[in-house]
Amino acid sequence: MAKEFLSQKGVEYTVYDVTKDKTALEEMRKISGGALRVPVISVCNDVMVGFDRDRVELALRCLDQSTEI
Amino acid sequence: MATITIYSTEGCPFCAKAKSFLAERGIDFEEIEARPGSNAWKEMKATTGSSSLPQILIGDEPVGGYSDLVDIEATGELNQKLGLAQQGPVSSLYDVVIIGGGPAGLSAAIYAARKILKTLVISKDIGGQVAWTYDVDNYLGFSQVDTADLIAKFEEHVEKYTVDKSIGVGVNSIELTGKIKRITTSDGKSYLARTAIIATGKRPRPLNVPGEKELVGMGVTYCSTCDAPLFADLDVAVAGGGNSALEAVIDLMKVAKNVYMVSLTPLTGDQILQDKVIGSPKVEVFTEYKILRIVGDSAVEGIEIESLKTGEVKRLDVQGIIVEIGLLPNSGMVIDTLETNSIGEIVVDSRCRTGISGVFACGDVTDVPFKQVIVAAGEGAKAALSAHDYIINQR
Repeated sequence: MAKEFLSQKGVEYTVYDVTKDKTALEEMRKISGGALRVPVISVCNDVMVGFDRDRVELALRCLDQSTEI
Repeated sequence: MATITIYSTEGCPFCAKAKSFLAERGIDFEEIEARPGSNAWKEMKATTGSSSLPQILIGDEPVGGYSDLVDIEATGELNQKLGLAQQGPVSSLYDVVIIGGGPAGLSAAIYAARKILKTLVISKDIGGQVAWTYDVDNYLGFSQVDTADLIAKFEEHVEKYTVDKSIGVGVNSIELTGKIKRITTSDGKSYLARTAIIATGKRPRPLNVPGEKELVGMGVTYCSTCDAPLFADLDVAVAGGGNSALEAVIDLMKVAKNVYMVSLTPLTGDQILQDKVIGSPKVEVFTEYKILRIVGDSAVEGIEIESLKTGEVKRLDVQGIIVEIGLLPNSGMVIDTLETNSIGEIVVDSRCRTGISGVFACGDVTDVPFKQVIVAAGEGAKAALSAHDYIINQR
């Protein structure tokens, strides 16, 4: 659902499959303060555990101001 | 503009509802206190032919009680009678609103749409509980299919028809007793429908111990199939003693460092699963132990457990806990309105009827036995066909 939402918004994103990529799993745990749940979504250094449409929408506003993801 | 008169009395809930219904819409009305037996009540009975309260009149014309008021608003008749501009409520009246997007809800959507019913699906997600498993091996036509692929197929199938969808939202309230059903969602929208199909499924039962709510996602999870791979190289506890708990332990044995299984009772799951778990050097089983609390500031650091036999309290250092102690039906929002059984499942008859006209239920939220994808899909089809029959008979 999160991926569909981002695609609908026309946002480019990178997917890390943490069930297959241990380095990504460790990175995910680190940036989220120990989250053990997917998805973890990072937008301009804002890290969100779980998919909350409204929160992601709000976080995406930073993309209008900067091109860095 | 025609005036509205309401005969009402104190302590009558539908009188209050009718009044706030009009007030919310900025429609003025005159209220007449009509305590049963009073002169006003006798006058009301003579004018409307009914002795129940409230009775609503538009000009001189009796329109009935609260649910009739809701009905005529939904069809646009109210505005017409009041001489107000048509705001187009007719187009927003659905034949069927389906709450829930699992196999039961989606199957209902397909059957409803094929009967050319104006259909809306409201759901927090698509797939429901099926999404908690990796694959499905017992759905007709699929000897083995990835759950994600199966759900995508369900979705694709629904897409072939004209079905409105509101996905990612919850239902805040639902009024089922009137002829027109009213559903308010978490995004503040309100929907009207001739029939409602409740297909809200089940959710995991929580432990209800301190630390649990606060640490969901930070080591506390209710879905081993979704999250077990995330516990790679960690120490993890599993709460429960049934098949789901044993399966969670087996999932974790492949990835975690150590697994502690904590059950309130002796293990109750299948012997074949118990043998696998007990034989593993990675697993330690604590039966007849109660979980007292989950410890950790921002992420799980451990759990405290207490022996039911000796009262001894132990701390287990774990970074995660998977709770597999059964499921609860998502029937909370209808529990006051619909009949439910001792475990909260909505009681339905063989046609998915709930006992309230125009309200149907299907899938795992009902008391229909055997919680299986294929059963839920079949029940969804039945619910939609029953809703269709009901609508035809109303015309």
